[in-house]
Amino acid sequence: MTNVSPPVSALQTVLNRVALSLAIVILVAIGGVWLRDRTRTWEKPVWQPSRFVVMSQAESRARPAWIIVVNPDCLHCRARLAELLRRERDPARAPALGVLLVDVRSRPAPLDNAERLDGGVWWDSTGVWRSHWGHRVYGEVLVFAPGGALVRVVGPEADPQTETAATR
Amino acid sequence: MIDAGKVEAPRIALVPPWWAWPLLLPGPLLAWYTVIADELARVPDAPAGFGSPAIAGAGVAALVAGLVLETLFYAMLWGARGIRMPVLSSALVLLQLSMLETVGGAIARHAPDAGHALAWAVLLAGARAAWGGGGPGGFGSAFGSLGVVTLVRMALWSWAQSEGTGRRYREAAAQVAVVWLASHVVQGWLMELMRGRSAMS
Repeated sequence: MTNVSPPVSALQTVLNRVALSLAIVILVAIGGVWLRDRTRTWEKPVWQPSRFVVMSQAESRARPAWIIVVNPDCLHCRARLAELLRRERDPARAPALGVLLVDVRSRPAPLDNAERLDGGVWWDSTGVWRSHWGHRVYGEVLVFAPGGALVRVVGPEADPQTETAATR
Repeated sequence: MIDAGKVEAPRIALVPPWWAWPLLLPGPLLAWYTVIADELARVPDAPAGFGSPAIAGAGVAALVAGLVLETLFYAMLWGARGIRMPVLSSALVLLQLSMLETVGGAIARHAPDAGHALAWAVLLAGARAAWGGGGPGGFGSAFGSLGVVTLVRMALWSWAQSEGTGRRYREAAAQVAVVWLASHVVQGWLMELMRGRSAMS
């Protein structure tokens, strides 16, 4: 047997239509923000240390650098950094390992293992990574050539040692 | 036109008598508690207390609130057309149907890396079964759960709404399909916009 529901009152119908219209407006607004974000032209990342606040100086710029993007509150960022630091590296030939601290409003506390980061520790105090480069993924590794040109971006799940494709 | 004087009260065939509700509520709540506590326990280097029962309980509360919101949204959709959908009984049905999501999640988590079993897992639980770690971006993650289990949930939810409102099944199913599609597109947009805004991402 099919039941027929009792109709709702005219006032309720109007209120529901207003709520539905509001939901559609919100949906379109989110879509608009997303479209604007997707069609924006971002600056190509170049490693220019002068754009960042130095927390721990890099030993040399003569080698390629792996710069790990870390937010101090990000658990998997810290795990990734620890994993990369655990690897055996040849300091003369391996890329320099550095950290870019992002999305931190006030000057962050020094990292515990800063002395082992021969690529330096940098604080992105002006939001270059997010606002100029358009990057969003914590834990990614930016691979830069000795001159500062971006070679590739390695996602947080991938191994920078083997990953060759740019992920952005 | 509907003659309000001759209509019967709406009824959802799936809704049990009132005395059975206390028996049916613990099942989904415990299932979700287990799933959420398990997910929290997997977070690497989590701070102390992150996987505590209180946090998992808060997660269950948030999930139930989400199901109530979903029910209210559909009630609003029907209401905008002058049709009443019983909210409380529909919410209970939706809570029961949410068990299918835990089933889909379990299939995805335990899917093997390759072979026929993986193909079956993808068919049942969606593309997420083949990802292992993180999903491929906002839209991939948003639609990664689309599989047989999700389709069954949508079909049963459509049936419940059809029964509750007295409208045709295909009408309810079309509405559920449109809302599912729109909500997952929005989810994809938000995931792409919010990526990196959370310490978890």
